[in-house]
Amino acid sequence: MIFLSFAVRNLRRHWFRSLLSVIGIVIGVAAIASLGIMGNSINLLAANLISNVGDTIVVTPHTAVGGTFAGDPRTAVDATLSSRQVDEIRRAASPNRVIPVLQGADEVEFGRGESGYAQIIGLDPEDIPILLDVAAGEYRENQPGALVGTNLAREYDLAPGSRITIGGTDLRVAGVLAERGFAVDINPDYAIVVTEDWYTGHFGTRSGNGYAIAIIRVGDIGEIDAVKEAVETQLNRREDVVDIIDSRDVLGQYQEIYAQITVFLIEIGGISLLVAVVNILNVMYIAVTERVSEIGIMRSIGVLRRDILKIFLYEAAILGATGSAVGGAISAVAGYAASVAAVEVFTAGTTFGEGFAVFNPAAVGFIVFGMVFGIGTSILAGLYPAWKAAHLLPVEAMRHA
Amino acid sequence: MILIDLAVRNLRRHAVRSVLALVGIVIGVIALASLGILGASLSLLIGGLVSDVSDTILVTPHVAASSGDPFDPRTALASSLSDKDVALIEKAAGQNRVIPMIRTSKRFRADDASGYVTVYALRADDIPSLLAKEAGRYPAPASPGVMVGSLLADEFDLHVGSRIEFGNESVRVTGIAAERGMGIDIYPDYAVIVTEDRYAGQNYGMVVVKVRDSADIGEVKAAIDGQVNRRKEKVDVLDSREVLQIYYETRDAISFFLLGIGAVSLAVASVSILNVMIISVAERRREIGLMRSIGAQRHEVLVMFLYESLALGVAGSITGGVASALVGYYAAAAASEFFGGFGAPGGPAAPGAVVAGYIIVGMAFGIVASVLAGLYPAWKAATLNPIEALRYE
Repeated sequence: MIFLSFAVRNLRRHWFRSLLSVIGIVIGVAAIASLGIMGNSINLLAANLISNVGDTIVVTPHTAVGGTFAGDPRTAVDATLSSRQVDEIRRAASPNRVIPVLQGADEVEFGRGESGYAQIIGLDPEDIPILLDVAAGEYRENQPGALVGTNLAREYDLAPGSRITIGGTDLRVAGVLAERGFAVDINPDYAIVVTEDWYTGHFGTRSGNGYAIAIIRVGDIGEIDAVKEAVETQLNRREDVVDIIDSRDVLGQYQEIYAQITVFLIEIGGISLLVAVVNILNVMYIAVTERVSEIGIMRSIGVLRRDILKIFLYEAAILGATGSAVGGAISAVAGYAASVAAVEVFTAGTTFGEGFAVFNPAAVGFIVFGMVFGIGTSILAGLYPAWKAAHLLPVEAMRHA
Repeated sequence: MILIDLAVRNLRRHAVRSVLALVGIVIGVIALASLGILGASLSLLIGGLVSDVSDTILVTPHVAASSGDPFDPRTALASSLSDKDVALIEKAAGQNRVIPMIRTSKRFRADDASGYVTVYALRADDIPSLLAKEAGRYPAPASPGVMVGSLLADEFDLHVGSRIEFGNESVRVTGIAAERGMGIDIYPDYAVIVTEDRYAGQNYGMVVVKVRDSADIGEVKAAIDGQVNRRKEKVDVLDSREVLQIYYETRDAISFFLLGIGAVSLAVASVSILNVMIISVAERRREIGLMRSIGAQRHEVLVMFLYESLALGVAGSITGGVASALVGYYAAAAASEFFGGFGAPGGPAAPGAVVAGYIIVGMAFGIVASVLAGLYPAWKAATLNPIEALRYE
């Protein structure tokens, strides 16, 4: 333990330069940890917006271009699938359930003179409970009524029993849907869900009102690829008629993107830490040069090489540990502030992520990671000077003025 | 000059610590300049995606609980405006050109590839005012020819005169629209543009108003709102400036953030210089005392130490500036590749002037930070008491 107290004494003797080295580490660790936390929060925001529907395959009409990533604006083409195509998909996907979705829009009056276009989703009554959860009210198969998306219900103060008018036709709100977020299949949060019969009765079967997508719910996740394959061969045999996406691909893509963003943020935070570590290397190197004769005396009274090595490594470790502790504490605050700012920038002007709370246990992980990294690199930076000190020739060292 | 020589000699005498201090500045300058370049390239990429049509007002059917974001997927609803609505908008817009359009889709086939594409149907005489052409001519009413977007043409190798299958008919490509990017109004690059007589009787999905004098935008918006939304809220009226505002703010926030991170590294580097200079002042107390006693003035001692930190800053900044030209280029190329997978048109690298600008900013910051870090130690050295300093050690 005497070597540890030596190290502490040496650092204290040159307290100003020790302080400056610690400040470097503090900034570096705070940068890494805060940026990591910020990346994590952006990740969380995205995960919060995207609803995970793990066992879903979505079949859409084949678009001529695009489709290499989810949300490609080039695939926002309002083409539809015919009932014949839906039947073919049913045959291929059997025995898994195929849910064809009618999507259109119409002017909706919400009462109190408020109106506007809203998305109308038409589904087979049997499919509704499988695809959607009702938060308020209840859904009865044989009773006509509309299910209203949660955001629409909140905006216009709709509850089960309210009456709305879709394109001039009066309809009762049977229930309000649970919030679902963006998903690869449908986004009902701002939509009105009606039965398929009501939909076709209202819009007629004119062209442009076919099925926008067909959703396949795969019972056994292990079969997803087999089902995709079957649909592919059944429909796209002669030429590409449909595009087939599965939710895992899409989520995987998003996760990959956000993981890349987090890694990038940590890397640029690492630059500061790198500079701080070079600073420690420099200070330790200077300390060794200054204390050559002291080292010579210590060696001559019987202190071993590895003890000298230890003294200097302790010094580097203390600098690193102090800096990392302070930096870690700061990054809890800085990371939170950075996260709030980032979420604000990314959701500016949209209704997404309102009241979204950043921070989760993973944030602590980033702080620990930053601190461990700060201590580890400080010790690494101390290695060369310490090794140099340990290998000085005692006689030469003592002669040094 | 002798002071500069002395400063350089001092730095040389402690080569290792000078090099390490330099490394810090080099990294800091590289970080600042390359992150700046990266931010500029990102802005360009985003700019390439979003076309700024500053004189445009967009009128769409009023969406329930709308968020005001034109790239909100819900604004792609199959909602419609009738001829009567368009007539009202025309009345309100006065002299300004009103362009109603239908956005739909059709199955398309060129050679071996096929699939649905977006179709914009416009009045024949409106097309030239909305789109520039790259080749051929604009579609004429009642003629079977169609115009295709430039990126669609690239993708399927279409030229003026190419024959494509469009719906159930075979038509000739008579024109190719110039690349435009995603505007708040239309995104024609991957679309087919036809005259509206193909969709006679169908309602319009949106109306674009081209305002001649952009100072009138507010007035025209208010007029449309008053005319069409008098009884109830029928349409949403957006202008491109307020819409793009959000995107510009996001872009600026990202650039600023990247520069800030670079500046943090540089701050750490200047702490490192401060440290080295403090140590060398402490070591050279005797020398300073000697210099003072043979007649060196306070300000000369000050200047000598400032020269040292200046020399470190200049050398580090030059090395860092050269390196960041390379690093920044690679970072920008990597970002471009990353976003290229998302349908962004092959983003050009930031122009040379911008790159040079960020490198100069990085270098200037590096030098200034170094000199600032040297100020306190130099002041400390200059105000040492000569007698005390000589007696030291």
